[in-house]
Amino acid sequence: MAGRVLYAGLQLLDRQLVDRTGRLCGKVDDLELSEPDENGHRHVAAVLSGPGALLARTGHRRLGDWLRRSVARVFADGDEPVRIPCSRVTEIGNHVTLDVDSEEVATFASERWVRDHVIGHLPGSGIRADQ
Amino acid sequence: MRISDLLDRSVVDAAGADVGRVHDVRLVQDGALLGGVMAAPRVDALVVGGGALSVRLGYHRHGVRGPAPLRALFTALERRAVVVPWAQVVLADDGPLRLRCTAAQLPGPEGA
Repeated sequence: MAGRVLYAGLQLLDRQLVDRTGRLCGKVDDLELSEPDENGHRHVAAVLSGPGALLARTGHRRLGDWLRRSVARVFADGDEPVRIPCSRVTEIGNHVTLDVDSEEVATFASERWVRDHVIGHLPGSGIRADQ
Repeated sequence: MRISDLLDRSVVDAAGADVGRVHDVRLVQDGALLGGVMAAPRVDALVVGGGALSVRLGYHRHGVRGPAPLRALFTALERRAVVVPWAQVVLADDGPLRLRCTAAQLPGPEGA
């Protein structure tokens, strides 16, 4: 066993996610595993974080899937930013550092929606609604 | 498949004997580089049984040199923990996870 050893429950689940600018952007709610490769190995394919992901982990998968789809439909224009590919993870330590902006992840979906659809339309907000 | 599909699942060995519940999943970063930065974490083993916490915290029998009471405590805890290599696990959609071998044939926490 040559590589670094990690314990998923101890060192990954519930850890803070930090974006590339150091901004907090959610917690690691679950980990998605890849299909087995030719050697039967499974790898961590993605970090799951955001609405619904934690519900699935606590045994309420159907409710979690419904919440995830609903949030994606309403707030995220159909995207499913709950899933952060492992290739976007740059470091696992006291926290998990991502190579994304916090606005791209699902935790910020509702804030984005409010900014784009409410705050952006207010005079003097300084935000263009189409941004 | 998600990590949560494995955690807290019951494990039975090839003879049908109960081995315990999955308390953690051990990953090893020895895969291909992802985005040129970090090796992909590979599922290496399941940490199963009552003494799993001591193994997860790194308190193996050979890892605790002292004080003597702590060494005795973690040695006792470790005896109840089983580290199951991933290759020995047979996945099932529901119900307990099955092993390809018996619990007695599993390596100890240091050897797995």
